[in-house]
Amino acid sequence: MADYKGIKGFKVQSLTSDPAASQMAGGTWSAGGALNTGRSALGGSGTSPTTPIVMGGAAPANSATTETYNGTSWTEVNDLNTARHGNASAQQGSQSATLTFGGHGPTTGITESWNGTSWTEVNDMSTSRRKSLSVGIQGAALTAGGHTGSGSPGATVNTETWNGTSWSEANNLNQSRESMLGGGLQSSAIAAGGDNPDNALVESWNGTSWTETTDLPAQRTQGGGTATSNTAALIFGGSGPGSTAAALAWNGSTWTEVADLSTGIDGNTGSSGSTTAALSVGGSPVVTATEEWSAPAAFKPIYQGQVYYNTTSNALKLTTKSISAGAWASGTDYPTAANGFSGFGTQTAAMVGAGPTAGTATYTYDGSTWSAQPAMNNASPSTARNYCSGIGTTTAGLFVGGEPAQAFTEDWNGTSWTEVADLNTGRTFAGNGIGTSTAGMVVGGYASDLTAVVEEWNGTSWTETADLGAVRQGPGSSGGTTSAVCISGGDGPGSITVDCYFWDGTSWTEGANVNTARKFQGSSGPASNDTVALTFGGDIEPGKTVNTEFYNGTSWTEVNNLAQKRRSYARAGTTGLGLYTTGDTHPGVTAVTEEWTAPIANETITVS
Amino acid sequence: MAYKYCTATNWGKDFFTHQERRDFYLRGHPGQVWVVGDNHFGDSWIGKVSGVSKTQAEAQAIVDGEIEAAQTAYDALSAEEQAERSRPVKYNLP
Repeated sequence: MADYKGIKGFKVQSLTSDPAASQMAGGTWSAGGALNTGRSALGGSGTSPTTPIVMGGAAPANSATTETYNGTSWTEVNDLNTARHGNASAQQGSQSATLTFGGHGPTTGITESWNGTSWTEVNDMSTSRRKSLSVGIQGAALTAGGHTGSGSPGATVNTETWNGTSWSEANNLNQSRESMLGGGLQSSAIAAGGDNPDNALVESWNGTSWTETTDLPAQRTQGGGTATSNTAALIFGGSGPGSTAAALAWNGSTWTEVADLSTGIDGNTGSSGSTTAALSVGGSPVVTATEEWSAPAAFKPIYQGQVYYNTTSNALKLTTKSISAGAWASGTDYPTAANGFSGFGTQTAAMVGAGPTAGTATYTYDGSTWSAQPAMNNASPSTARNYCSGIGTTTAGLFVGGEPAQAFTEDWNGTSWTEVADLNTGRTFAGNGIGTSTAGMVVGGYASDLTAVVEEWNGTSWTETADLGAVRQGPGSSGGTTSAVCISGGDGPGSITVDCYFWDGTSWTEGANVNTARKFQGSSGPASNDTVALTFGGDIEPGKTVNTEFYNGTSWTEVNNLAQKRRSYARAGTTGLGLYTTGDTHPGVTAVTEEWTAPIANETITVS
Repeated sequence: MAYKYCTATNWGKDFFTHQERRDFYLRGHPGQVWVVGDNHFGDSWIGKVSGVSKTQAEAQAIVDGEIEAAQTAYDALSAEEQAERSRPVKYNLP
């Protein structure tokens, strides 16, 4: 029967910009006005992308040129007194009051102060240097590190602060470096990456001393950056090695990749402002281009499956998961380290239980904490329910079977476990189950021997349905009772296979194979169909793997791997948000949890 | 992802906008070569900037030539100047 939406349709929301998961995730770079004089390794100051000032740099000869920007075009103003490149600056200074210091031409400690009209030479730094960190404002600046121009490698840990009149020695960096990215204020700053050699080190300045903190994801030097404190920074471009377009945002604990610059570039400088409105200026060798970063405060939250009309780009759009960009992150360890656990649910609402050393104990996970739940009823004939199969959600789920070839089915209603109808063929090692607590399946496993038997659950009882094309032990599975996939697994003692079987509601057909043969792996996907699936980890005989593969409805593609090799898992979730916890790391067992997240991306539907 | 290739001169402000960066893949390379996501937004942008369409091989040849010239320039620098930057390296366009 047609429903109301099928007859009347539904209202499509009009938005002026695409929705975003967060303010920084909604940020992008646009083309800014071109400099009059192309250059790299220049100094820059500013409090907004429409009011910056840049000075000096390599053009490619040492430059004294100073330019100001009005949001559209650059205007040349009075030159520095001393031409140089690799000069640092009071990053949070303004077009009416800023400072530049150090640089090369040769390497110097010369400091110049800008009053909105012209530069005046003031007291030098104690340590001459080039390519040191740019921090502060005209009357309260700071610099750290840099290259002293003598010796090899010549990088220094030296830090100096400026009080508006003179420079004073302050506590040194922990690691000597030059060409760091970051910035901030004299009271709170961040120094990321740098050269000596190229590195990913990050140090946080609290107004008194430097402390090492979370590294960059990869080495980065000679790029642009801006920071308002040691908990809010944006870095962009640089050499990593080779020019990069990548931009990273810092929130005080984590570096997050945000939208790239249009062009890979190094030797650029950050000018203007904040992590939500910034400017990348110039670059190597003599680039005139600038790019403006904007992360608008007003944005609509994104959610998967959202359909909307973008009035700016005149397009009907929907949001979908970009699985290939997904990655695993650390979750909270399970209370017990072991193998043979089973799970169901989602990344932020999961049920995990059983296991050889945990008996019938069960725990739920809310995305950060494991909470003890009532134990299952049946452990006979052993004291465990390890290697059972999980189906459903944390408000309506099933644990089925378990070692050694048990037939028990227990129903979870969100509060307690109730024994319901047994399987016809008791089994273990059937991997995770498929579907929901009222329409589910268990596939293969080990009964008295490896089995191809499949049973379907209707909410009340189990019915044997069409067998798999081959016996299968420890497969991954994904989907529902009308469309599903049985992913690889073992097809004999000590064997593993790449073969996958696809279920159309009636029969199984062999289809696209995984790239890496495995068994006892994790798998995730929607509890409804076989059009997408994720499989990860497992036993690759010999050894375990971190390998993760994504199925897009046609073929399997390798995506970002787990951090830890393992087999015999508990898993939950979908291809967008997955969960993997505990397992056999051989040698040893683990309680480690990893969480798979694939960002929601905008995908455009063509307008007719 | 499918791409198109063109050359276009970056004139500065609004050469590409924030919304355009959201609507299609765009990446600049040496020689004013632009790799553009193959959708109708990318096509519109190529028209907007009067981009000159190139095949992937033609675009790669331009980028290679620019990098070779940059390598020659780098090799002519003094040891002190070379220590300040890395030698450009050839790479393949997507």
